[in-house]
Amino acid sequence: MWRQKFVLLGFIICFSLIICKLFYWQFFKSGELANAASNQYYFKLNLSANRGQIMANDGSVLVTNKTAYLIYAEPKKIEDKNSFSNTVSKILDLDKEIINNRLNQSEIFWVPIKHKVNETTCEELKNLNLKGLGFEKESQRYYPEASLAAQLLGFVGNNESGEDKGYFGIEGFYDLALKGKSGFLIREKDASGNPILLGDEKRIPFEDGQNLELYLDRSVQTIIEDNLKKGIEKYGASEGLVAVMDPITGGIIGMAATPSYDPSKFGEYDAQVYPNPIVANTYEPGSTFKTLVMAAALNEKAVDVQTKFNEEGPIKIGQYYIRTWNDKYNGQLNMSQILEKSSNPGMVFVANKLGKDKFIEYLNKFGIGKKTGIDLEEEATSEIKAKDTWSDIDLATASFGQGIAVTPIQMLQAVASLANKGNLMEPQIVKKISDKNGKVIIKNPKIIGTTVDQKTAKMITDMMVSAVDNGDAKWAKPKGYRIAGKTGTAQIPVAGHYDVQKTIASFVGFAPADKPKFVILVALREPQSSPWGSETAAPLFFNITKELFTYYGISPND
Amino acid sequence: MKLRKKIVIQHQAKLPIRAFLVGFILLLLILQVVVSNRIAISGNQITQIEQKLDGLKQSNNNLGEKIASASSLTVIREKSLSLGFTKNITPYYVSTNLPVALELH
Repeated sequence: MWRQKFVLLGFIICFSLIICKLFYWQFFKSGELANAASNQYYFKLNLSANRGQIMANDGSVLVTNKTAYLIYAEPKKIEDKNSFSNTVSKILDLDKEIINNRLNQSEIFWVPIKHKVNETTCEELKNLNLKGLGFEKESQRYYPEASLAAQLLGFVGNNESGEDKGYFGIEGFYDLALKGKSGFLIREKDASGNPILLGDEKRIPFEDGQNLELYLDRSVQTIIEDNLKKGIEKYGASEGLVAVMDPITGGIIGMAATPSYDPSKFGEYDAQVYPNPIVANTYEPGSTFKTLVMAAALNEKAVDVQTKFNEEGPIKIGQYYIRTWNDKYNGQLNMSQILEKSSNPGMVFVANKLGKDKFIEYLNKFGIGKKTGIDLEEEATSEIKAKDTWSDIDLATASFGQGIAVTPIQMLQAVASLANKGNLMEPQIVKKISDKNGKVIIKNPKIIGTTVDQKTAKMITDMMVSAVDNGDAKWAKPKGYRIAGKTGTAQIPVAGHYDVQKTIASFVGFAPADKPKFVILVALREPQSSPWGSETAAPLFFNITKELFTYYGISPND
Repeated sequence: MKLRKKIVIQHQAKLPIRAFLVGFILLLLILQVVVSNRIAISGNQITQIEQKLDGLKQSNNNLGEKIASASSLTVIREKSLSLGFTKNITPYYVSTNLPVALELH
């Protein structure tokens, strides 16, 4: 009897153990086991979207994608880790110790070694047939025009999760549109890993990023980049920039700045060169600003073209004296001659006639002190001082572009409004957004305000033409053309005072004056050959203009 | 007696239908085995087709990349220089006042 009871007890214990174990598998380990089972009979694949292309106005590709590879290792499959890391580090130009450390982490089955490896290097590695070395396709940005318009385009780097992300310029501003949406595929597989035709399948399709077509003309961009490079070398400037805009649409046709970088090797450059100085930096515009102040005064009828000013010596404002740039005084000047001679006392006279309130009102009208709305990530602005804090000397110096800061794009936009009958256009980089399904979004030109009336725009244009024809830079002007423009030389503020040796030489203008095709702003920082805009920025402006006339087929008669 | 005869006749009539159904089921079973067998080996074909598709997409991308490179201004400029083209710095514009051809007297 006791034997039967003993066997029964044995059975009860065994069954209890089995029930406990089953309980453990069913309740505590069910998720893990379900995953393991799912991994055995399901195949999971992330479907990554291709980043959209960026194209110039003629449809030529400025930025596209090319195939690159992620090189990874499976440490458990590697026989000799030391020899493995030695070989791989040499080909991938990586530190051997870094690879060794990654391989020797315990319980690691998969480690990435290097992203965005090109096809040639990948082939070289594949030919070695190293056990435990793997390759996975990924996409890499490719720039057929190399570093052309780098600061306008921006670049693609990684975010905190290691995913592609656009930084600066268009890549930064349109990152969401460009990157698209990733998808995934879960599909039942057979024992050999092949898909089962009638098996379960769950697919969330990916959506490729949208393509962007710009206003940018790559020929114009090449012209301005070549000329800027030559100008920087010739005049010994530390930095320089050129921006070209279509005054009628507000489309940016070209935009170049030096120093720049190669977006495919952005990591090799100082991060300070990443932001586009045309939209991200402010400067004191100097005499180029006189065109805006004069336009405002003409529009308000505070002065007219024939209003006389007697330039007989420096003007005293409080404890300060306002002098001409060469300390020479020309006697009776009309308003047009004030611009031709770039007379600072003359501009103080004009600003006083206009008055502080109207002056500030026109700063707002011209978009000074607020962002232009250009579709570039890093746009910045400086604020205009509150109206009640403006003193007489502030008004006086601001009348000739000192003591007031603008971004180059604000200056370009404001002068473009004078070329476009007073219509202030929003500067735009992207003209068209399209996706693979044929959906197209066309960005129409956007008028965001009116600066002056049509008559004033015509008057100021004639005055700017006269400033070019009779000003200090007339020697560089292409013969036979009517070009409206103005030179500028602004001293650079350093630690609360102006350094007379350091200037920003600039020129802003548009052509042909009566039917403008383009507005150009040229600025050179600290030119060594001469500090004056008329001897540095102006010739550079005219060199670019000459080439653009040829490119657009504009004859002197036009 | 009459009823029994009728049942026998009906039973005899159902025999070919039953045979047909059995045959049909057998046929379906065989068909299922054949189809299952085909499906089982079609995974390999699907993989091959997908690989081919990937290959074609890859070639397409590579060609797109080559076209973009070949049509870049940098390449065009280099080629045009090697062919002897130069930059036209001073263009000559024909005045619109003059006719294209003049009549000789």
